[in-house]
Amino acid sequence: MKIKIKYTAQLKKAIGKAEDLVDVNEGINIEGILNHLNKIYSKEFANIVFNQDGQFMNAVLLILNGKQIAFNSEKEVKENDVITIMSPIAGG
Amino acid sequence: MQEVRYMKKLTEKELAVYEWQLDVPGFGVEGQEKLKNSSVLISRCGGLGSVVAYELAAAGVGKLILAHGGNVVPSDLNRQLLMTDAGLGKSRINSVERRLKELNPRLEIVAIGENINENNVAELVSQADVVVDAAPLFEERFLMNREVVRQKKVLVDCAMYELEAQITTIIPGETPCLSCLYPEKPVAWKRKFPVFGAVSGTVACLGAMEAIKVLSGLGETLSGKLLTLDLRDMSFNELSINKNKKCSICS
Repeated sequence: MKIKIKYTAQLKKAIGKAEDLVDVNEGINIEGILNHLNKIYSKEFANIVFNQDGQFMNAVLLILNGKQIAFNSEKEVKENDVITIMSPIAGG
Repeated sequence: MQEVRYMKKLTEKELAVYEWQLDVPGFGVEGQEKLKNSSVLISRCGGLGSVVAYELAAAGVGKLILAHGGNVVPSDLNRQLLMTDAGLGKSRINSVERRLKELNPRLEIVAIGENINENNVAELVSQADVVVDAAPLFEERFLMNREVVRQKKVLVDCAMYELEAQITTIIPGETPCLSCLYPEKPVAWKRKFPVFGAVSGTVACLGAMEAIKVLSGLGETLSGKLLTLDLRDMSFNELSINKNKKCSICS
């Protein structure tokens, strides 16, 4: 199934685009999607989203259909859902 | 016990200056008097904070507490609208104070020529009814967040990067705090960030409006919501954000 992923700030720059359509298996959760993205993107993506030990960095905000969702949420992601992965910003 | 505060009434001059905003439904003389009797702390008066300060000075907030260190450098001038070319090499906070007084000589200003730090944060927050954070470093923002939670003060947190920006209003005890959103220090953030003044100014106006609403009771605030905007495609989104039950600051 196809899932739309949107990116913000430094992540947009790291990936080279603002959004992507990815093909994933049904029944996948948010953690599974991030691990999938980690395989298909360059190291710049991993440098922002995962630490050196491969653990998710909790300062990255995850949004599913307009609502914040935890990395370890067991909620299944459905076809046509929109996930936004937000790189933290503090410009003033 | 709640503090009992003597409410200063509007003068004839103030009634004339604020005539057009007094007509805003739900605001009126009562809302204007609330602004007059209020104080706002703004952390850094750079691209974002300078416009917040200017809008709040124009709107008639009675007292601004402003923290901003350093001297004006050329790269400030694309966005820090309270600085001037003639002020290059001179104190930023003096420029801020002078420009605000030119607009509103009635405004009470507490001008601090240093950024928020461990030594000044408690005292500065204690003087304010509302805090607007516009600092470019997460360390300063986390420090401010910790202090507003401790003193139970409302914090309007505004941030930008490139053509994007975000804003939320933090009400301690009710909404997620900054450390709920970012439980650990973001590693990707760099001190130097791409910025157009029109972007920092846009989110600054939103931040000023949030402060005005919190102080006067007008409208609905962004409490518990994160408004994101991307001026590259003019998209605005209101996101629902969560309290972290294990937050080291507010839980």
